[in-house]
Amino acid sequence: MNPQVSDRDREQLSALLDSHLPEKERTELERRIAINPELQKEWKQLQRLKAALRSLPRHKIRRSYTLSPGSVPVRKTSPFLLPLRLVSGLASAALVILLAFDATVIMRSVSIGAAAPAAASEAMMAERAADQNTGEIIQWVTPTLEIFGKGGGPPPSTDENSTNMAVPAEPQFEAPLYAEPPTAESQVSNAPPSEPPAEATPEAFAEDSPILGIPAPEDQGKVLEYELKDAVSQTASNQVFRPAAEIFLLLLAISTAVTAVVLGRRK
Amino acid sequence: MDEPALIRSALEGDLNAFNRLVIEYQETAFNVALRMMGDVPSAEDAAQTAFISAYKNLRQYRGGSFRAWVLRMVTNACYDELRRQKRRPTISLDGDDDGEGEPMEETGWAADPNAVDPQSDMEKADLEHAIQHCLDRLPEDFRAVVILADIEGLDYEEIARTAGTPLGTIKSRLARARFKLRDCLKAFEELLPSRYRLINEDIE
Repeated sequence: MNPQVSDRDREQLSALLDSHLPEKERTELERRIAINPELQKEWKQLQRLKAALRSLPRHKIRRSYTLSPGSVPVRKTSPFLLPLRLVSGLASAALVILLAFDATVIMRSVSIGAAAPAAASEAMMAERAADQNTGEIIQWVTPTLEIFGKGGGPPPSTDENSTNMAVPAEPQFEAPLYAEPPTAESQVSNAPPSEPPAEATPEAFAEDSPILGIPAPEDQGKVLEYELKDAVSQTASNQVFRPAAEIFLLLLAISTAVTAVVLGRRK
Repeated sequence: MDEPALIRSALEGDLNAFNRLVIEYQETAFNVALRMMGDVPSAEDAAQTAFISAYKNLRQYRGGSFRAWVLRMVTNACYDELRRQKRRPTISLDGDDDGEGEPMEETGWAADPNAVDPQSDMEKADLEHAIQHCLDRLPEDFRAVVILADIEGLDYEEIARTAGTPLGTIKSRLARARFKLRDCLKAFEELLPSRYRLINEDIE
């Protein structure tokens, strides 16, 4: 070993021999070889060594190394391999589609849930702005006779003296939702009107109200019942069918894939 | 030779397709094994084991240089055989005192049939003997790298794939192997042909 030549120099010389040195390093090393006799000696020895190794004769083989059917187990492809792979692929694809659909539904419900308060707030602000002109908020109590009737609770009393909610609605006056110091004007206008507006019948209001947009009282219970029935049956079938289908597809995909791998590896 | 098509056919169980690949690479495989093992019978065993192993593990081939993949099988078979020999050293019954089987210089079948100069033949045999002696004294992973690079002429990327080692490691390993080999060959200066002598008047 030459102490004047470092391991780094030797590694660079070796790389230079195989033309594996970056251009900048190569130029620098060649410059150093030209002025450093020790490096020059190492470089020439390395070149001779490589020439000697390259000059070694290649030996011809005395026998062939080809394999005979007896020397190795013959690899037979199972006829079930292709159908298994196909089923596995289809099941995986169906599972992915189903999961993607579920994810979309969840995402949509989340986005609706997030947007709803903002929309409600905006609507409320708009209403408030409109009401500020009159300075009052009128909320009609919806007649709910039919709903109660269908709801399974005690039948409403028909007694006229009773204070049941089935009594035809009267406009009720409430303070604005957002408390502000009452002005003289608003205090005046907050006084209950002597009569409800002529057009403010429950039926008419129900048609116009976005919040209480319920059909005619005689239809309310029916509609609610049908909608509930549909919604409940649909939700129930979704809750049972979809996870079951997903689990089935998952198991099918895994079992067929594992079987295909096992069959493929069998020698 | 459509190598990918042959590999696909071999994967489907076509032994003839695999044998065509064997024919393509068997000489390289044998020569690498011969330099690794240092004797013909061990090299033949290692080469055969490597091809059987290649057939059995063909599914593990992930593309790239098939030669590098086959040579990986060969070097692994050589490592296994060398370890086996270290565990159970054998003693030759035919008086060969180094116990390494049929030495390479006795392989008359390997001599160049076109050679007419006995002096040149002797020099070549001396050179080969000296190099093999020094190769045998290198650590196995150094030996494999220098055989693949300088004798078989593989590039760094193929050697890295064959050895399953990063490129940087291959570079430093090859440099160290070359200089170890050079130091060893200095002891054989008088035996080497003048053009291969490492200590020479024009170098000195």
